[in-house]
Amino acid sequence: MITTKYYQTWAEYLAAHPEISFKEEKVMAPVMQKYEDAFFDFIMYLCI
Amino acid sequence: MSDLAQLSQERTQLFQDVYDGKIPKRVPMVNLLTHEFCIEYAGLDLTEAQWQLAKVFDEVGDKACRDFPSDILPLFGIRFPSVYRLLGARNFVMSSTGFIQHPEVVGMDVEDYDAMIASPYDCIVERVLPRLYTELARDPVHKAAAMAKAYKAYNDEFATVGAVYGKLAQKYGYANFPLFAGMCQAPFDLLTDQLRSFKGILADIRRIPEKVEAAVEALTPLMIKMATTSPCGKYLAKFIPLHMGPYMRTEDFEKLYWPTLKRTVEGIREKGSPSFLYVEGHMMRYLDYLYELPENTILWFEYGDPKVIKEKLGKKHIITGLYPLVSLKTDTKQQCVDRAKELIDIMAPGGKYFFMLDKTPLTLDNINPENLQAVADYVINHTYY
Repeated sequence: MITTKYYQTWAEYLAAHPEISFKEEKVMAPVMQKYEDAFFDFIMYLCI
Repeated sequence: MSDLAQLSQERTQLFQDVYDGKIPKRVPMVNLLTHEFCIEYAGLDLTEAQWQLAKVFDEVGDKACRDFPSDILPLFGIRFPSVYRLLGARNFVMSSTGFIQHPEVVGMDVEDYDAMIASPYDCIVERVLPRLYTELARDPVHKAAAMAKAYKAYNDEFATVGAVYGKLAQKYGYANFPLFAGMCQAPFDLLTDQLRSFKGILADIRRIPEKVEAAVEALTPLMIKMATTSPCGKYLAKFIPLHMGPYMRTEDFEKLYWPTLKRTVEGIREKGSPSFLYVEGHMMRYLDYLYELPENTILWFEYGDPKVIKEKLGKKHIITGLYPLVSLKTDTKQQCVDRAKELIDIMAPGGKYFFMLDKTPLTLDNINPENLQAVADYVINHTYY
């Protein structure tokens, strides 16, 4: 688990956005998490 | 099944057997050539080609694959000038000859240790990256634009080379087996390379070792995550190049380098993947530490005594490397092949071994290509168990 302002798990994002419906969540979750992880990968790539 | 599909399947089985601790049909041959080497081999200008990969990489990759036998795709490159130029990089700069060089930079000041320990990712984003990349030190709008452009370039360049990799893997019947399926660094190396710098970290070890220790502990979950955002599995090894060990006193290595490297490798294993460590430099004094790593860690040695390495580590771990690149430059063809035979006679018995050079050739003049071709031919055709 990493502690940061700049990365959110899907669970954290969902907690901050209660307006998201169950139907949206099913399809949104993997997409949103994918982009969150992809950006994390890019930031770490810039450090190596 | 086509001949190429059959060949790919046989090659895949070689690596799966090695990774599973079984004796393969023969010693697998891994050639690993950087994009820069391949561009020079293709006779192209290094500067121009790296800015035009979409136009030239098909030809560049194909020539290298055609001429350098390998059981696995032999191409490797992760640095693209477009990304670094768009960000105003100070840490990766293209020289007049076209090589991307890495000047010693300090991304993290000694005053940043507390922030790094409290939240490494925040510290990297807020303090380190703006020092390494000048465009990320500008106002928010320019910073966001630079990041967007660089991220687009990063994805475009990897997509370009990735498409060529896929096409060539099919064309040449390579193993359906990635050598590296992700990467990270040892936490201590991350803290050193672009953050505190070589000179800085050696001073920190003396002056504030407790902060160094806390910082590498804080960086460990970040490294595990970095390696494991890509898919994990028993054949999806994560690459970890090791840097600082040879330059440290053993007592500092034991306290500050080793524990978090070990925890990183274990954390990656918990997610399902082995680690593929490049044991760079002179690391023979650390063999007992390497033994402690999870079984079937892949250890690519640059230097060392093959007999001792095989004896101490070869039953538990997968060993590769140790064939001197310099030999391919200085020796005759027959001497190169004889040296390969001698190494394989030591390393191959019992399995858990594949053939690889001690380091990747970076430029064309690092080797005599005919010698590498001869060695690869020998490994592929004359090393049946």
